[in-house]
Amino acid sequence: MVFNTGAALLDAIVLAVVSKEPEGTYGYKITQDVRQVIELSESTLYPVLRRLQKDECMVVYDRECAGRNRRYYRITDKGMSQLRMYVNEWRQYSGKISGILEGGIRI
Amino acid sequence: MNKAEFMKELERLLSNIPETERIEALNYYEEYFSDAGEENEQKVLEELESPEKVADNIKDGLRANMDYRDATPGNGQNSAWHNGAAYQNGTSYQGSTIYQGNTFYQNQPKAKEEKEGMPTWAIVLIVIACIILSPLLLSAAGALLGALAACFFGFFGIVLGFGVAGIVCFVAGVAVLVAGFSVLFQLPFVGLALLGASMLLLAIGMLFLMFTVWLVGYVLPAICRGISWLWKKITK
Repeated sequence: MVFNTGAALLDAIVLAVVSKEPEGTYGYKITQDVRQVIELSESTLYPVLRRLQKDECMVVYDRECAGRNRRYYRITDKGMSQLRMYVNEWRQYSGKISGILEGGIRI
Repeated sequence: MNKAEFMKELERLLSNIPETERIEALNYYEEYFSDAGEENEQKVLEELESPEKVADNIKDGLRANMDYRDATPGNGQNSAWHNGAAYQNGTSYQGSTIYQGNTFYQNQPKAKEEKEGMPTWAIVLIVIACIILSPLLLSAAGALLGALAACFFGFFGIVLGFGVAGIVCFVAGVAVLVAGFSVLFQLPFVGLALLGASMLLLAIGMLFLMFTVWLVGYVLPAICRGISWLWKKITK
């Protein structure tokens, strides 16, 4: 991967991953899912989750699983509107970039 | 390093952040290890790289969050989110205004006092201890150096001794062999005795030379490996 993922894009990806699970999802799974699409060191994700949680884009709750507690992250309404904003921004941004990169070749 | 050591080290490195944040982070990584499963423990440890890296990321996150909140009072929606500058720039962390301006930290007055690293009095104490103990430390270092040199020269002496003894035995063996042959026909019994003695000398000489080669070729590298292993253990 030659392009690096900025903080905002990482937030967007995490919100998108979490929004796929209406019941919520947990740290290890989020990390694995995000790592499917971008290269990411495992220690990068915790601060992002923590921040999104503090900014009320996600809520956490604990659920018992196999004899121990597991912390689940679920997207909030605020998180959803944030994600929609990101999706719009991304559409414009990536459209422009694609236009100049690939459009250049077609001409 | 295993998981328990990793977690312990992480806890130590996070000792200067608020307790709630520390517990939160430690729980997260504890859970992370559990979810990855015991069989993946080593893989996770590798990918997390080091407790230092994880701790730095956690602290950077706390810093960034404060900067972000500071930059957008009363507006958590859009502006600062996608320009990114607010939380990529962590320089104002040291400034006390951010600490004081943040209610989260105000609840924990202790956190304000704590800086990264050791408190001043500890550093002063260590310096004083170094000065007082310096003759002792110097002599200890000298003794250690002397012991090392003794070990080195001792080993060298053993190798040299066996090598020289082996060569001498070999040369003497050849000489006695020649002498034995030369008198074999005039004095057959003396000649045979000399030949026997020469065989013994040659055998001993060969044995010593083999031992010398073994010392240099096998024991010396093993000692070097041992020392480097010890050094790594100590410095780690």
